[in-house]
Amino acid sequence: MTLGKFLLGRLGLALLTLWLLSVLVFLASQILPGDVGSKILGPTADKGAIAALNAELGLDRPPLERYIDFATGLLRGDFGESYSQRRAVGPLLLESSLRSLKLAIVAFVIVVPLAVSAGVFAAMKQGRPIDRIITTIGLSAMVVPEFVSGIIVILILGLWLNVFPISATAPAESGLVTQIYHLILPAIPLVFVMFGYIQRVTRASTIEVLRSDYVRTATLKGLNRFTVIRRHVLRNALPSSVTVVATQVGYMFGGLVVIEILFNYKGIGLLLFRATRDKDFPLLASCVMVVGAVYLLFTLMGDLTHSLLNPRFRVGGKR
Amino acid sequence: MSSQIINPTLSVRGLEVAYRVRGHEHTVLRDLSFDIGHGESFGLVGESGCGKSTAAMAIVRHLANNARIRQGEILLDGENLLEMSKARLQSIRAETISMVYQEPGRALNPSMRIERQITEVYELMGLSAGDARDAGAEMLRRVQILNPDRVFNAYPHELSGGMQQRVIIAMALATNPSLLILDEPTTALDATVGAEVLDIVEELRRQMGTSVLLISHNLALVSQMCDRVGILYAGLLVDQGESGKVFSIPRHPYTAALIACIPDGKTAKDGKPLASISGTLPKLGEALVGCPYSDRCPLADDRCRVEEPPSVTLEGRTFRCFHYEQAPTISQDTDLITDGQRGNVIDYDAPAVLTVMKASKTFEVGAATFKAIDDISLEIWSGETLGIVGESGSGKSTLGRVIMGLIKPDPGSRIEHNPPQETGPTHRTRSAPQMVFQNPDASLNRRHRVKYILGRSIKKLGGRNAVPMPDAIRKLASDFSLGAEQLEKRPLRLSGGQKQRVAIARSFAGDPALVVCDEPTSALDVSVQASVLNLFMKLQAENDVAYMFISHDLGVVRYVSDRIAVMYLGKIVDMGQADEVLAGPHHPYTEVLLSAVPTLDGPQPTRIRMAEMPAASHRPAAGCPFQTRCPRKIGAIRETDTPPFQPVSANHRIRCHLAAADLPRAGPDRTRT
Amino acid sequence: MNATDDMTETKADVGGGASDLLRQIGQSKLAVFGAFILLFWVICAAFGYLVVPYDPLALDPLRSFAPPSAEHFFGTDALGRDVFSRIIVGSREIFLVAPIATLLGVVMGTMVGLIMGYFRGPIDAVLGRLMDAVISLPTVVVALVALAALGPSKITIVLVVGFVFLPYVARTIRTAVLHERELEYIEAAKIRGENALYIMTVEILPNVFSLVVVEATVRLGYAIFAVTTLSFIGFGIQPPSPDWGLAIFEGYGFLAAGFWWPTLFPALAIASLVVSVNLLADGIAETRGE
Repeated sequence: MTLGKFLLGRLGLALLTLWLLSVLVFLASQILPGDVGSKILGPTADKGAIAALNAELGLDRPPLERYIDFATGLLRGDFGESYSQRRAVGPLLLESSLRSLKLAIVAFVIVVPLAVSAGVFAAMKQGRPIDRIITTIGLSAMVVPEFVSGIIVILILGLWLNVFPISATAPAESGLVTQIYHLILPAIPLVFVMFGYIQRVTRASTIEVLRSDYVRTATLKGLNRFTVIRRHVLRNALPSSVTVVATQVGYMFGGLVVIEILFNYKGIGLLLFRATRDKDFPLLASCVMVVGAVYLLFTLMGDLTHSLLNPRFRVGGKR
Repeated sequence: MSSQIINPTLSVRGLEVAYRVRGHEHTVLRDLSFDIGHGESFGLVGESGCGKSTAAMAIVRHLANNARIRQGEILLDGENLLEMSKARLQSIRAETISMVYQEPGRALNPSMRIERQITEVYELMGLSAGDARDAGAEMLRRVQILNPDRVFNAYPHELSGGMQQRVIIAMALATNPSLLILDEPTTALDATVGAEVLDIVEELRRQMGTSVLLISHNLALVSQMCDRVGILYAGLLVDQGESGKVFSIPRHPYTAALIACIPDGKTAKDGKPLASISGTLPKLGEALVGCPYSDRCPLADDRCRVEEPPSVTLEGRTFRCFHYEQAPTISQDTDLITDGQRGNVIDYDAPAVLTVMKASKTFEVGAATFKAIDDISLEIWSGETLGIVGESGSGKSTLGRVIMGLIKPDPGSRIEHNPPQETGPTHRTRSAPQMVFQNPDASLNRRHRVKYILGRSIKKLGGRNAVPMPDAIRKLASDFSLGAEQLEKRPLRLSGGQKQRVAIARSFAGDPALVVCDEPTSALDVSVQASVLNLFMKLQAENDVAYMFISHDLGVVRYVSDRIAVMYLGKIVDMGQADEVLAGPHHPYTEVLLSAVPTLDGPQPTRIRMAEMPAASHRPAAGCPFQTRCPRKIGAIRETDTPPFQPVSANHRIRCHLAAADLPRAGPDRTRT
Repeated sequence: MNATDDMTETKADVGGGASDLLRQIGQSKLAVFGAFILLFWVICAAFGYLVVPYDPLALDPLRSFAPPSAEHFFGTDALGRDVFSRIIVGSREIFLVAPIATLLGVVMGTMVGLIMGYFRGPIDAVLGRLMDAVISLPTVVVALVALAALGPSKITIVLVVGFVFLPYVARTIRTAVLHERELEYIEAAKIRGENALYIMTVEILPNVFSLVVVEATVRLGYAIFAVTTLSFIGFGIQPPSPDWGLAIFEGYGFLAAGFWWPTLFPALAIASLVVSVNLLADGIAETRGE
């Protein structure tokens, strides 16, 4: 099967998953107790006013109709109106997503080269103390919740040593560099969490390649170690790292929520949290769909890169 | 008077290698000494655990991290490899020593095109990129790859096994090395493909004057290819010399036993049982007192058990045995479990135990389909063995599984067992057909103890009987020489032969009318194979069970079969009484197969060449399946009409367009006595 | 035919019994270290209430935000409660919730993974897509939404976290099952006439069991991660529980004002617990043979 067909298949699968997600999200919203009207107007409001508001918001129509509205709205790009903020969801989502994107990019730019090279390095020194140290550090950092490492980092690097500002949001009109400077502290907990997993997978994959027959062939041909690594090992060991990095995007969203709450940074994570807390269905549903879509997109890109790098996968298996 | 080789290319002297596992050191090779002269080929033969691969790795200095060379020298053209600097070692690897090993697919970088992998070798020698490419293309032509450009552009997984191995050989010989090491180079390939590969190696090395070290477990192969040979047992070279002499006048009981174990063309199951060696092979690195072979040797006395025989050189032979004079004439020990009646009388008038009519199975691969088996019809009677021979892609394994009900055949296929059987998850009768698989590591559940494995089979297949379970298990086990100790163990702790016996015992927990054996001895060492084959024959004699014996090993098939069917690309092309199929007239494919099997003694067959195996997707849609490779192809008609089954005698049919009189016939030395 | 000599150092051919497992873990210093810390917290969880100097729930508004001193080792929080006592006793909260959630997720995930891997076909496809949909969202987000709907309590947290972990466990088990079912002992079982349930539970499960154990220990670490995170954002364990995550939730707003102790000590406690569990999990994973 050709590359095109394979991708089309994957894309179809992703769309199907996305659709399933929309159904699940909608269903979840149905069981969110408490009606929105009273939440907005407050508990002491008049019953009639609440009913009128609910009708105005279209909340008294049957579920199937509301789902179709919701789904078609999503496709059109119309995300509805936030109950709690009484503004269009679309632009709000966009702003927040951009902010989160900046934070995510800072985190990725730090963690990916660090973790991949640490993984390759540990693999080459397998069994020696330095390997154990790196891998254990990665392992430990991986499992510490972001808010925990966030607090520690705020205290030590932010308040006590004053190396980085503890406000993630740079003052308005700041240049890019200042913005990034403010984002480093919140990025660090994200880096901790992602580092361990990427490093581990890279290490495992590199070890497997180092043990392979074809690396033995390359060594026995008389190539020096450095050339063997550069030419034969990396291109076979790294593809799996690519896939892992793609899936880390998913995990990172969870971290984004927590970090944005901790640092009060108005990204999509904080938005999602507030939407849930306020039972703001249009906002919540849209946020969730965006998160899901981004994850699926990245997984797809990961698969694409993986198959581009791996010719056997591309052409489609054995003769 | 020792026959020292003057100026040997390789000289190994007193090599001792040990591995460190979990804090303990295990010696794997001891006092290994042999020479390979210029342009000479030397074979190192042994079964698993003898240390032969370790020897190869030691020579190229690519041992594992936990291995240590304790003492000895390895001299390459006079230079000691063990004392070289890293830089010197690198240049030796680039220019003087090359190695080819077992699985060619794994030895090539899967994400690099062949061109780059070959030109790399030349660039190491100092050639420019353009010159490297030309030299590479020339080398590919020398290994019979007619279209180097197509192969250059390909990735390894796009090539067949034979092509891959030839590419590797091209890379190995590109540098015109002094020494070429081959470690089981054809074990993973079909016989016909492997034979061609070795022919190429032989041809090239004669042209280039390369010395060869061939490591193999296959004695016949080594005797065919090598000038001199060394037999390795438990890390010691026990017998060494000119290959013809070593195999005709063995100077060590182990050599004699190995030779006797191999089913050659001459014995059949109704003759003598195969010789086998009692006891088990020592594990790699096991420490032994006295002569390592003493616990299995028919000539062993007290001295052998206590004192290790020193290496003695006499008349060009080097060996380690106190009783070397008696070695050539030992009457071979036959297994304890081979007493009893030999051979069966088969009643061909009774109803057949298995009838297969027009069985086919089509598989879908992506968008394409292919027929793994096509229009197969056969019958098997009680007490007989039908040998199924074929190489990879022949469909023989699929046939076995279709018969067992594990794979559903295409509509229109008829498979009838007699007595009739159910398939699927229901209760089985005692006579239900059984299957023995190739690899007991995969066919036995590694988390179950032997007693559970046997007990469960007895429960499901044994029918109702009054015997309490523990007794029934013990009885079944002892019938197969498995003791109480083995019952408590899990499969990982048993030897290869013991594991396979558990698998066979399990199949005989009931009273099967038919047992399908799918390469049951291919994963076993030669000495173990013999005792397992004897076991199969004994069971057949006692129980009148029918076997469908699937194998790629013609020697084994000759020994066990009453009738033989040769399969090619899903069809049966040659079927009949065993001696008639082997003596001829032959289907052209059978002729090629027979020519590819080396013999231990006597003249080697003249090799018949075939064209390259097509990819599965290029199977001919119509006509004879062998048309793309047949050396006797007579014309275009073969591409359109499926050849009919021609009877060439009452018991022998061949599917070929050639007239019966034109079919090839092998010489008289191919018949069975 | 064993053509190569293999004497590489593998730890994989252990008998598989519990005593072997313990002995192997004992060989890894890090795993032992992790086990000790875990044990410490388990003891705190069990006996903490008996030994703490102050009542963890006792309010003392006059003494709020007292810094660490001889009287209050870790100081007091916004409501004057002794932080040290709350830390010791807070371990119980997490031990009541996380292990059970893990067990739930692992047991259900293993069953689903077995079914998906063995049957394949439509069951696998449908379940697989459902799992993918859930996995496409971070666990915290899914748990958050679910708990917002159901209302956070210890029981709902256990259920939600357990179900959220199900797909991850199922996926891992499924991969292992896919590998096992290609081996011939499965065919041998079918030839005997065994049915699907027997094959899944008696033939396949023992071979993936050690993987299940590894998954369970790894998931435990993540369960602690998830529960504390949920408490931190207010959708986990509810006040006035001395739960560590909740303590941070209540205290982090005061960090900038300089009151670090009600927040740092719970954070360190959480870090020590998850790291110790993970070290232990890694030690167990190593015994299967890397």
